[in-house]
Amino acid sequence: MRKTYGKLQLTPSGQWELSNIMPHVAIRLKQLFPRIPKWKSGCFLFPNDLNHCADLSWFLSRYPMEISEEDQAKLEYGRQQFERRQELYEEILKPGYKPPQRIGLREGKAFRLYQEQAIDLTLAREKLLLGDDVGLGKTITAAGVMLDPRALPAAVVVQTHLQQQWKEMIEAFTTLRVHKIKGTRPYKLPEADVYLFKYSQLLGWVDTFGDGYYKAVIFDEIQELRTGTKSGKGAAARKLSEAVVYRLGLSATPIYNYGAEIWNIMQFIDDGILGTYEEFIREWCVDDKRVQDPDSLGSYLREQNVFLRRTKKDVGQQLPQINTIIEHVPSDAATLKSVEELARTLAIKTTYGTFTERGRAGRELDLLLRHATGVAKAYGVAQYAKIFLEAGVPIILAGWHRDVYDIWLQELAAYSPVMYTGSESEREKLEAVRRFVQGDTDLFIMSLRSGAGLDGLQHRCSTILIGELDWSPKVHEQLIGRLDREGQEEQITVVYLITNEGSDPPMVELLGLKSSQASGITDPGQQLEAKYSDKTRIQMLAEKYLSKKEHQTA
Amino acid sequence: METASSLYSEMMKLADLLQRQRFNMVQEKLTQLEVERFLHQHAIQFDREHRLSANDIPDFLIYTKFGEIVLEVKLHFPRRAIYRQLERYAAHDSVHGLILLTGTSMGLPQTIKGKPTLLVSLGAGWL
Repeated sequence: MRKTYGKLQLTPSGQWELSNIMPHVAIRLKQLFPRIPKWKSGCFLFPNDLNHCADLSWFLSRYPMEISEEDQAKLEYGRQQFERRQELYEEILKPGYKPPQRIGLREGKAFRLYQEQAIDLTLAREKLLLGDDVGLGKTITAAGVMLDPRALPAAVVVQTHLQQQWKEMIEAFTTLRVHKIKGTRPYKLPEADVYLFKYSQLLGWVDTFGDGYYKAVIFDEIQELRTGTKSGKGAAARKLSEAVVYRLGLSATPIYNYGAEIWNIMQFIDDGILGTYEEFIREWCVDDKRVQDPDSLGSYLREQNVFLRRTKKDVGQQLPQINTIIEHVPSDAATLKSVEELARTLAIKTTYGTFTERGRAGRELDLLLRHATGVAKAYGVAQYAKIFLEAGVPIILAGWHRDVYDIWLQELAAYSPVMYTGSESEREKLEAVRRFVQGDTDLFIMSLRSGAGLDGLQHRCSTILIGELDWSPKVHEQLIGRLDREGQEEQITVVYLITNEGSDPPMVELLGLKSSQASGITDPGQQLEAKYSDKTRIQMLAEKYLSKKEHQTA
Repeated sequence: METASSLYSEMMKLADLLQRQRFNMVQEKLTQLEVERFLHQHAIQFDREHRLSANDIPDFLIYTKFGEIVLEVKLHFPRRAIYRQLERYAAHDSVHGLILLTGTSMGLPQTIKGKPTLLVSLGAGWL
């Protein structure tokens, strides 16, 4: 008889239970399965999924356990299924993959191979987070999934301003019938294949999600759910996701801030993949925000085939590298000085106040300093913008605070700027875009967070000045995405205008930390290329500007 | 004097190269590994963890035609402690300049103990 090191059995509740394990084997087990708490002893529980069947079966080949014949058969079956699935997924992702014929495409429309692969991986695996680069047609891939009758009817959840765009895209590409959900009060739904929800409507419709009517759910820009199921929106999304067979999340930027957000996102796609929240924190994180080794986590998600991401380079469509320039602009010391006293009081509160006081004071301090920093450098930013404007180069100037815009508007009035911020109506915004694109003005002042989905600017402009920083690096990425898209014919120049005072220096480091996390998870093991940064053109423009100015004063 | 300005321009060149690269900002050990790989790639001569004395062991000591430069990598660390450490390195005669690659937002004077200093922000590399 073979020596055994403990006992393995499938409990009535459907979990694998390891018990009576010899201490040295328990130590090995904990090393191999870090989600087990270090203090745990006696018996250990594992979910009965294919992944764990494969891992446990492998562990048993080294440390045999007492196990009933029936359980042994179940474990083996799980392992074989795991291997078969891995083979199937690999087959789909091979370069020479031959996709099946799809019915329901409009005449003249076709999928690209990488889209076909994502469609078939979703159908085979039933759960997928698709992180393809902006512009690779994630909407079309989603439409492809819905061409499979097993996925119908499907619910698609989108950001408010994209509901109409999705309807038009699906209808232009396929013969699927689409219904846009109206309002937050359920009504009798007309017959359709695809129902388009806005995230803000989910809560109102939550009671209709449990009946198994929908077979698939697609969450567009799934970072909308990054705060998890705590919000009403999140809880409703979770209910919808639990009731369907196929789940697909779409986002080129699934991690908006810290790495740990990926656990929340996975709750809507494949909730077992990272274990419980406590297990996830133990296995992957240094604290409740930061992932210890983002590259390993990213590789794990890819190896599980739950995360699929292709860059523009991967599929052979690449624009020239973006020219990124960091310029230090002077700030007005008096403005920063004026908030110093208030800042000091708040800083004292953040250190010595009660728990709530500390939190509130900390946030106020952040807001106050960010506002003061924006205002203090606004004049310097405006002067820098003049270098381009004087040379007739169209620019986007991005900011956040109203007071900052006011200084820019005053300093740059001669260039008749148009505004695209939170203060303008939809009509005024469209008019601003029209005037800029037509060439009535070279200056497009834009709010950092108002750009998602905005198309058309790339035909007129290739230079963007970031006059105030945002807390999330993905907001800058989305903003640059307005210019870095199909139709752009020039090299893009992005200038970050920062100052050495106020909130800019710590924000820069925080942005780096966040990007570093996100990059590891979405693109693990990627050798990071050096940034392209070339100031010669700007120096030339600056010299021209200065000599013109001297000429005027002479 | 000429050597000093040549050394400074060597330092500027290196700082500029470092500033364009994205280095890990989560684990300092990984950041150091990446910096080591980076220096190799650019054929820069250096010693890792060179002992200036029993207590003073900078992350990298870089050899240039114009003298040795300390390159210190610090992710999250108290500013004052970073400064004190640089001050100790600067006290060594064999050190002619200092570059700090850091994820802690801070400023540095132009020289420490008469040795030129440069600061490279890890965060700015990711912008």
